Amino acid sequence: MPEVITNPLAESGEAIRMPEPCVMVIFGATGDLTSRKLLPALYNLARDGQLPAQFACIGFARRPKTNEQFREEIKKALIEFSRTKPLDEAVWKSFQEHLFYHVSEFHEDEGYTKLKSVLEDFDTRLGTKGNRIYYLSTQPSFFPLIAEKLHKAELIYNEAQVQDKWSRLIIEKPFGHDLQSAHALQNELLKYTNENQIYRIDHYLGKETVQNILVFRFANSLFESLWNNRYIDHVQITVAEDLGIGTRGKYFEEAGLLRDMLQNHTMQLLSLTAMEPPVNLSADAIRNEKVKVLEALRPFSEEDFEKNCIRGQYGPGFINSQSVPGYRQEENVDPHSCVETYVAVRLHIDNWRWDGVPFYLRCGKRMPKKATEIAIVFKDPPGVLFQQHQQKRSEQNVLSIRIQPDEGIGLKINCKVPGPSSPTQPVKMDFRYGSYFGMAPPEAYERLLLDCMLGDVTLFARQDEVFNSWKLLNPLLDKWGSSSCGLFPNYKAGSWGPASSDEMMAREGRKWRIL
Amino acid sequence: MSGSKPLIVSPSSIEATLDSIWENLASSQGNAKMRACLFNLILVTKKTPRAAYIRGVAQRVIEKFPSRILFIVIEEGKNEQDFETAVSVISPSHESDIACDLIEFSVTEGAAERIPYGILPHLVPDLPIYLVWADDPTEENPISYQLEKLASRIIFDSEAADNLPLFAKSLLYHQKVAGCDIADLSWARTENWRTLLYSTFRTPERLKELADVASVKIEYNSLETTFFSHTKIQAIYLQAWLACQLNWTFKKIEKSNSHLLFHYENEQNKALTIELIPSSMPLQDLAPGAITTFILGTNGDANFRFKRIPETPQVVNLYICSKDKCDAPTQFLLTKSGMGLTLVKEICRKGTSQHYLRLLEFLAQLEQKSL
Repeated sequence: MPEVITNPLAESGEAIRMPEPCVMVIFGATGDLTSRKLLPALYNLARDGQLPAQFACIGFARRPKTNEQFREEIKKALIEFSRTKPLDEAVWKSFQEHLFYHVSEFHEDEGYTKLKSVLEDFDTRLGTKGNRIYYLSTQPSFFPLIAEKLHKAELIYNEAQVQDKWSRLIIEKPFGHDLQSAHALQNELLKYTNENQIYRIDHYLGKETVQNILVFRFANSLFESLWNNRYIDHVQITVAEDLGIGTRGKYFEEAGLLRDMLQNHTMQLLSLTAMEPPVNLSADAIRNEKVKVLEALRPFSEEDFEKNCIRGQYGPGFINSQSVPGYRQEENVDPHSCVETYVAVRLHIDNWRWDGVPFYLRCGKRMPKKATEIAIVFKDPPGVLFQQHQQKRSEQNVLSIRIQPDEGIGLKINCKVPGPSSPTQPVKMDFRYGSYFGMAPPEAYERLLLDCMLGDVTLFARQDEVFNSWKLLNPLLDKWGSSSCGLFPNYKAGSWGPASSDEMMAREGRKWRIL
Repeated sequence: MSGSKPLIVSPSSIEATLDSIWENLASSQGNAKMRACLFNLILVTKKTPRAAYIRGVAQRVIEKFPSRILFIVIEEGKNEQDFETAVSVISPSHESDIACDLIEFSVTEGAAERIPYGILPHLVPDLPIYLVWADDPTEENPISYQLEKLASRIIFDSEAADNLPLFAKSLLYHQKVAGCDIADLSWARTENWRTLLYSTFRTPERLKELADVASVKIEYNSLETTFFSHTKIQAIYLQAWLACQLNWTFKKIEKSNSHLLFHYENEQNKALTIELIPSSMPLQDLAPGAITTFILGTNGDANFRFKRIPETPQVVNLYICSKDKCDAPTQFLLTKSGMGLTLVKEICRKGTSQHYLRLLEFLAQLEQKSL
């Protein structure tokens, strides 16, 4: 449970989330994630006064570098990538004094022994009290090795024996590349840690709008009462990116889009959308409900594989009218690659609330725009009014929760056009975070790193969430792995995906939303 | 009409530039406006003098319905890859509190295939997408199918087509393929006359007389302008609508001078004719092609004469005479069908008019040379 310190100077009910002293060690500190996300997140936490005074961050990587060089590189990165600009020199001056660099190969015992002495020195000099966070921003294949070495160097504490300090491991997605490897990885990690020391990060869960799904659903009786198969026709969840794979060709050739986006981000959005109200807001109460949703997902049938699981790969096309190469022309990609860059599936949740309501999930690269949203499409009203002189029904109400960009919530309703006749026209009521709250929301990583320091696991995936997600998708991976990918590429970069995806919707009288 | 000056921007900066224009508007005293959008309106036209007319139509639309306008002008015959985009904020008037986004695409034919990809990121989700296809739909166009797939309704303009039967066939095909609602500006322009006829012939006595029609004469304003050269379309539509709705069987068309004579048989197999006559005295204040006079005679010698008053063309006098008596003339006020207003009407309509579909089926069986 997070430590919540009640501030005697604050009005009653307000609380300050202040973490305990600690050191964060980032493995793979020369990678993009560190410079683009992790250090900017720590800098902004420091700027907002949310980091403890007794804090240090150590970059652990193979490339030789001095502390000064590391700090200089991070400064440049902050100038470019920090959400707050310009760089606050006063904050930076103080922040950089807590940044350090440690050179070592991941497999060298000596590197860990030296790390231990550095950390102990910090405990004495900086007062970090033995609390550690190890952020594994490396290739997944290094996770067990690093955990083993940390354990061997006694840098991961046995919680049964050590209670006055803590050690936590943050692991980037993907957790395994299928169900079997996820289990294998978990078993490896459990040799050296406990489950409650493992923080599986999915940055989507750190986004304000994702967290707002629970508030929106369970703090508003208006919507929750409609949140079931009596009123909802179907749900569409879209995670679209306009970017291609950039320099990640090698990674993407191994992973593919299903592992990169569907298995984690999209399934998290699904479980938050469909879960039952938790008994309280504790991490386990929330995660228990999410897991129940994943457990209730109907496995794919043979017919589903044929008709309701669509994969695609982008060919050359246009993004913002500029021509862009196809996936097979990207760097480090096999020119005959069968790796998917688009996935759409229809899912059913076999429980009381969602019986008969299809959930359509789609994710893709090189879509027309970057857009992540959850759209709840409501059933038509009984067709006795407003359709008598019209050939068509009114448009379905849609509640759209925009995760990014342009975070907010929209509600599409029908309205009478002014005038003596009574045509109806859909209109939109729109709530935009940016318009209502003057302050910029924190970056997802700020929230998640802070939560980890506080020991709050609510926004991190639990092992059973990961396993259930793989359990559903594993047969699909097997099916696609053993069958021809057909006529890839099957959609143009800059379009909304392959025609077969539209056909899947059309067969059921539905359409993908144009975002 | 007021608003900001169009700023030429790269396609990837469209939204950011619009946001900054709005921010500037909000911070400049006295200019703050509400950003409004009821639907997405995509207008596609060739770079011809008619493009200015279509732009004017869009500006009239926002007076009634503020919307995000995506105005696409294609320059034919150029194979260069020119793709220029500009953004501005437009408002019906300086005093108006509301304004909306205008995104303009000026594209050479060689770069036309990029258009759908250029507009896709700029559609406002959840709101209808109306596509005004201001060019001849019978001409092959590589982007039409992709744009039609997006549209909730496609609005054509038969004025842009040189071959009316082919236009009708094309529209029926588009409706079938795109599966979305279709509409036609020329059809919308006849709505005031259709309403007038409907309201005149609605008692049992009048309907009986309608079933006994022997001849119809329709006069139309034949004055051509830069934007309008097919002035007989509305008259053809009106007569075809009558024939379809009254189940008359088409026999033949005769052409003499600039008159067209349609021969039909009614449900009792009695012959009847409809004559389309270009107005000998075109009315300057009246839109080209507008119906000026409608005369209907029955086998029982009843006569219905609807005639616009030259001084106030919006007003129609109706003279009804039978074998024995003449009624005192009555006056009707036709609703305006000016630039943009017909489009607004078509936008408000739900679904595709069944009357219009029947009309298209009728027109599709004709031969262009007979018109």
